[in-house]
Amino acid sequence: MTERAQALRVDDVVKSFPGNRGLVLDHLSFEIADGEFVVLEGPSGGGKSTTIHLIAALDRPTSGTILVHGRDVTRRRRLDRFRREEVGVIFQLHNLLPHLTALQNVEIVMLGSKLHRSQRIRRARELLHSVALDDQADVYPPELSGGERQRIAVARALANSPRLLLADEPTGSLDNDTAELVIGLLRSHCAAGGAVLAVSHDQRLTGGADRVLHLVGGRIEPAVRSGAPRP
Amino acid sequence: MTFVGLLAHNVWRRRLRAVVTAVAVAIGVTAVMALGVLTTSLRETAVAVLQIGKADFSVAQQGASDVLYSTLSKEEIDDIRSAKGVKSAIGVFVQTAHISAQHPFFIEIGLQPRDLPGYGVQVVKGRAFTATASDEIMLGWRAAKDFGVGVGDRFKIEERTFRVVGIYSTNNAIGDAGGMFPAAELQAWHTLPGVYTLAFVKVEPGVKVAAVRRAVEKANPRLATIATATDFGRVDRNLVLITAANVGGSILALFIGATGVMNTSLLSFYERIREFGLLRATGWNRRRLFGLVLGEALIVSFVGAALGVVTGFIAVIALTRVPQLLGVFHPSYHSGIFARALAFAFAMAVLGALYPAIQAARLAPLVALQHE
Repeated sequence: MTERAQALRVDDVVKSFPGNRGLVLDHLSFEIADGEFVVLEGPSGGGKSTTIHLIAALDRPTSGTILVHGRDVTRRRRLDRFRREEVGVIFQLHNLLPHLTALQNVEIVMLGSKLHRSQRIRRARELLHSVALDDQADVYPPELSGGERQRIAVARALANSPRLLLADEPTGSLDNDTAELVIGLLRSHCAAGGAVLAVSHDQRLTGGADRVLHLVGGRIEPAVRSGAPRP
Repeated sequence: MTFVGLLAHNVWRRRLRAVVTAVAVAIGVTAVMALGVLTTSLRETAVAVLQIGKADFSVAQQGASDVLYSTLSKEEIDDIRSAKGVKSAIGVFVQTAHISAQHPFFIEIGLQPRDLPGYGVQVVKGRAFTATASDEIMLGWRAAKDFGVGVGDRFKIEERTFRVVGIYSTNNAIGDAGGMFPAAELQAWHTLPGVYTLAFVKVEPGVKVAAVRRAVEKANPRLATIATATDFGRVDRNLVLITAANVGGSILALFIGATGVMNTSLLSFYERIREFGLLRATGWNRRRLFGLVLGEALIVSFVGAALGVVTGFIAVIALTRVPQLLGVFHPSYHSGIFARALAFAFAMAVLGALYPAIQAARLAPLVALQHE
């Protein structure tokens, strides 16, 4: 295997919450290389989503470092720029804005970028095409199926061309065909040199991953098995 | 989609609420505009009375509640006339009369016939009154037109009837809407013999007006000189009070409008916490989110301002029909009044949306995303 650049390094990260939740991540450490598709699985409440939130700079770890392409996220000042340009997040609940069309939901995250309006629209249309939703560009999310909404969420996460894609249960509620389509999109991102970290229980997703990490009790279990070979 | 397009879209999707807020802003702007026009116009009317004589400056009693209650004695006018640099000083007795409901504020000007040319009066029809005539009146051409009378006609003011001997023009709207009488006769009628209201002073060519004003005031501490609208407050406390009421009313209107904007912005903020969280999570910075909330408020406020200007016009028209203001209130619209209305709308938006905008900008993305 050729040496690939490090996309993500989670190093000795501890995250504890006040109250009943207590310690969620207990000196968590792992790495992901560019082009790699990694799935993080484990029991509910085991800290999977928390890990995604910390990497996406939506929350701060109690201690430890998180390096995304060599830069420590926990020490960065312009987190908005990091969230916009370096990481894309596919949320568990889609989190689409119901008052905006599919196209506008993808375009809105590019409003802070340097792209001109026409470029933003072109990019949003390309992304909707890539998730096979060209004909739904002007449709509002409440009128779309769960699978279609999830595909818009994928398109939105890819809008600013992030190298690292984080996905929280991206296929959990999808039928087989749609799940295959979404997994294919994630794999395409890796094939283009990006990295994917997905959190899931879905065997369809773990089967398509390069690696599967088991998060138990806030730590990665020593046994790490490989996912399916790449197509 | 552009950022401004998104602002408009967000306002439009809550259009009923936006309309209600815009109406609150419009009420504020209406009040500001109507009060502004009223105050400005009243000041202009009042100042116009002083400008009839086209003098370099006027002199009145300092601190009078109303300039028409100002009293100057013949001796004081003689004293002004003898001051260094004064070319002429004309004593004028000014009163008002109620003629009818449509003409509640008829200006009566009493002065000596010999002072008519110096006072800038041009007799355009008939002749001037004589110094001792007890039943002669000259009407301004506007008054003659309004009342439909001409030279030789009878003209009744309260219980007295006068004979119109001439029609004059002063090139001053207020002056031309009144009537002129022999000063002594008008003073006697109002039981104020020998009392003048104002003195109109012209200075010698080449002499500095400011220096003469200072000299007159120094020699007559009871009196004040007036050359501009700003000076007017010194001799008319009512106008000062009206101006203060305008400022107070405007501030009150500002807070009413701002409260309306804040109510809407806060409601919108609490409803959209998840939306704001998502935008922050996908890379929007605090400034952009701050701008989103403030921008939406600005759009609503400026729509309200536009509506307020229209309703302000209507309010001003309604004010002109108020019996107490007939003849006194001649609406005068300046660009400054519209600029003030826009500034107020801007201030309402900023005051009302500042707190919600700051709150939106300060949201922690994850907390906002998990908000129920």
